Amino acid sequence: MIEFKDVIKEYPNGFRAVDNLNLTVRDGEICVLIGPSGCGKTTALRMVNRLIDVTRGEILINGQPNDEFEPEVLRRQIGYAIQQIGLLPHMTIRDNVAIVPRLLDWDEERVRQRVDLLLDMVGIDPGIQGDKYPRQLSGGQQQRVGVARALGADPPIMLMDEPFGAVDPITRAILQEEFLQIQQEVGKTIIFVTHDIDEAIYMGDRIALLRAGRLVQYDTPDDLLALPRDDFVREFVGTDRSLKRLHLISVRDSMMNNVPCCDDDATLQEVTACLDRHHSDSAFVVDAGNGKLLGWVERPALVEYGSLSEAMHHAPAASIAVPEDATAREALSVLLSHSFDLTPVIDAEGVLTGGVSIQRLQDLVEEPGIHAAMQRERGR
Amino acid sequence: MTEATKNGAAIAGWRLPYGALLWLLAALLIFAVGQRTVTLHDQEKFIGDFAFAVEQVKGERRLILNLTAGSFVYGVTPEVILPVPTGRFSRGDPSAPQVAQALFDALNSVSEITIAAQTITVAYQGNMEAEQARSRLRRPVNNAVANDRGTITAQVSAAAENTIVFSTSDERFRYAQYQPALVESIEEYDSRAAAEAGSDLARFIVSESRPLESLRLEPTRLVVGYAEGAALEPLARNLREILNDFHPRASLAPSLWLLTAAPEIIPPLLAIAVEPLETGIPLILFTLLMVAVEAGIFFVIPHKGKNNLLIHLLHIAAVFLLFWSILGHEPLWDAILHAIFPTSAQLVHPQGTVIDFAAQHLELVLTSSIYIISGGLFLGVMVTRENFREFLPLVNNVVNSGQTVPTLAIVAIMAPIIGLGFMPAVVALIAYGLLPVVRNTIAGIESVSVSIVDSARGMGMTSQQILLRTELPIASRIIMAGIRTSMVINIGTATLGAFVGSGGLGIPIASGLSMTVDAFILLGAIPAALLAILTDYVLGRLEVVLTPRGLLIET
Repeated sequence: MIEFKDVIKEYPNGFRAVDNLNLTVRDGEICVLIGPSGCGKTTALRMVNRLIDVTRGEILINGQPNDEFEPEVLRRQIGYAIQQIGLLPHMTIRDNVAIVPRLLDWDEERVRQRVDLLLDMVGIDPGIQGDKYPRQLSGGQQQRVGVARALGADPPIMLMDEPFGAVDPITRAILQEEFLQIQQEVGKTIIFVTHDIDEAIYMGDRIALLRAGRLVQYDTPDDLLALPRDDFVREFVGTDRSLKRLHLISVRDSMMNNVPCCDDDATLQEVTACLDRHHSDSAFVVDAGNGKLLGWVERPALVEYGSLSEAMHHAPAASIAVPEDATAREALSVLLSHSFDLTPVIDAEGVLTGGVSIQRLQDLVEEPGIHAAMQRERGR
Repeated sequence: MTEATKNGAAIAGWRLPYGALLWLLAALLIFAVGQRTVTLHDQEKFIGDFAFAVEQVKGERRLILNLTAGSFVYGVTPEVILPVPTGRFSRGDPSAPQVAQALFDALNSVSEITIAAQTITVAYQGNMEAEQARSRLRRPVNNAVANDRGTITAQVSAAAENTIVFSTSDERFRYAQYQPALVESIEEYDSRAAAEAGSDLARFIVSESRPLESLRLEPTRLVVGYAEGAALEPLARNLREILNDFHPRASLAPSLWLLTAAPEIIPPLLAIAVEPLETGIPLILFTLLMVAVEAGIFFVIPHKGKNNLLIHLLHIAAVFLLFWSILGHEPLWDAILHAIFPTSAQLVHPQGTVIDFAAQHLELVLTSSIYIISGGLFLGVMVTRENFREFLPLVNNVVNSGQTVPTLAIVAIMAPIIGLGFMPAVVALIAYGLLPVVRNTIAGIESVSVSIVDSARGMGMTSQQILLRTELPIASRIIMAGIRTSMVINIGTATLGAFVGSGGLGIPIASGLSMTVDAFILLGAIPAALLAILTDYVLGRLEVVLTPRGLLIET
């Protein structure tokens, strides 16, 4: 647990980079510090491992003030990753990752095992890439190594200052997703600085929005989006905050299980009964044997052709349905691009498991807080 | 061949044993050059000069030709000195008595010829003890000098294996005192007119002493007696003609020279003493050995191991020895300079050999470089530390001004303070050479990006660890470039040391300028230029070796 208690950073010229910051980061959580540039988020981060000294107030790490440690001893217990990565160009990838373990005098065999484990974890092949030098890797790979290095000696706490800032958006998205997977395994207490609200929403368990050194709002992403405290927060999170909230919700959490559907060998009567039961003019058609989504059928066509096999539209499931683990935002996108009232949801095997309707999505973004609770349940 | 092309070839997978081929080429060149025997032309070095030393000794009808400038001083006070055209006679030629004989035969008016021996070198058989050889020689020597006027000091020393040197002049004796290890004992012989006894002595020793294998006379004077009424000037001209035929000859094949260098504490400065060492091993054998070594490296050691420090050091040492051996071969310099200045009487400097000057030069450069590198690194590192950063402009200004003041001026200022000799030159060189090292150290450390230092600190490295494991390795290439610049400039600047008597390759240049002997200027300038190129090569290789591999990869 990291606690900022009335922390002030004042420079000799009187400028306060951080002004009376009170913040608690719980164990195993990612706390994102965000705000416009110059808001003091990086300063706050760097005060944790004493790269910058606190002017007044104190920072407690697991209840112990951080100025009770020698700075070097403290830093070796805290992972540190920055935007510019800062890999040492004259050392191999392995040696870079091994820096902190070696500073801690681990024996070489343990260092080697740890390095292999970490490189594997971040998706770098220790055999092929391990003996290369940083300049031989792409930007994305370097960022991965930067993360592996920060995890070097398995520190309980990590400080990450825009660690995925220097790569293109696609690579960044991949790195973010992978990092969340790693975090699920390792459960570190993380302070994460970014200026990208989307990244903050995606990565953060809690977001601390700073402005001119002061904490404006500290909430879960969902609460921040749903209940912005003032105009500054509202403006900062953007007018598309509802869409952003959808991004936080998975299809699995937002879908309805009971959707009009029928087997492909159903009789005309069975199909009509199903449509009637759901008060719907169309229904999804699934394989009678394995339940996989095959297409859909509409009431007028049924009337016209008189049999399901002739009336139904065949379509590949991937083009009309969304997978269960997609976000509600993706489901909305599919809804908008097809003229369905209901977007079918399929599982990994292509079996129809439910549907998402526009009404349902609207309901979700109107009820603040619920989804955050859902997420916490899922232990994200 | 540059490193870049080498790496390029290696990356493309197209490899040739470049090293072995280059050494083979060198071996072929040395073989071709070594086949030639050249006539040596320098009068001071290889041939006695009697141009100003013709004396007519009153009433004795003799011409005394002093074969060296030095011996003239010790000679009989001349009553008549005749201007005689420049002539030559080989000093140190094994056939000195035969020269006398040739003169005697050729000149009708000559009634007597005597060679005054300065040094008589006697070689004896290998199975004989030095003491035994000396006692065996004592009798003929005593006999030869017994009825002469005056006293000479004959000094017996073991200069080389199975050799005894008799010296008959004070000059030689003084030399021996500097090398006491060589002197076994000094024996005195009563002798009168020892100078004239030289050739008799030589003949006598040859005929009397069984153990002798060879005999060498180094005559300082030729005493030529002439018939009454003979004209002096034609006689002298004739003498010159005959003597000209006795130019010594030498092979152009150099032998391997080594270098012994040891740090030597000269309070209050640490100095490096450098001594050239002739091995007598033909250089061609060394180059052939290197062909074998290079081929071995190429075929035995896998490609990945070839950037090994030891291999680079081997290359550097081998190239240095090749260069050093060429510097050491005096006949080569005589031949080169004679080709450039065919009319010059003086070609090789009388005060020392090229390799002696080069050794003194290296001594100056290496000694000053120790201080430049250690001091420059120290200053550069200090002023980039957080606590001393305010001294950065001061240090910058001081080292800058060190280079703006002309070296000669620094040398001149130092001379009255420290005195003449080695040290003021070293101090001037330090003042002049500090700038590139300090500036590049600062630039190198500043070039390390802030984020790298930040992440190193953030990981918990101490300031010392950051300096040693991060800043210096990353800056090493730029720092090495500064050291390289400094040392190459240093070699050129060190020639100015000659003006305060520090020795070095500046001596032939300075005396060449003052005596208007162009050959001497080149004798200093060519080796100095070669030394600078060699140093640049050596440090270039070291730069590649010492730069961490990760930094050599281009992005």
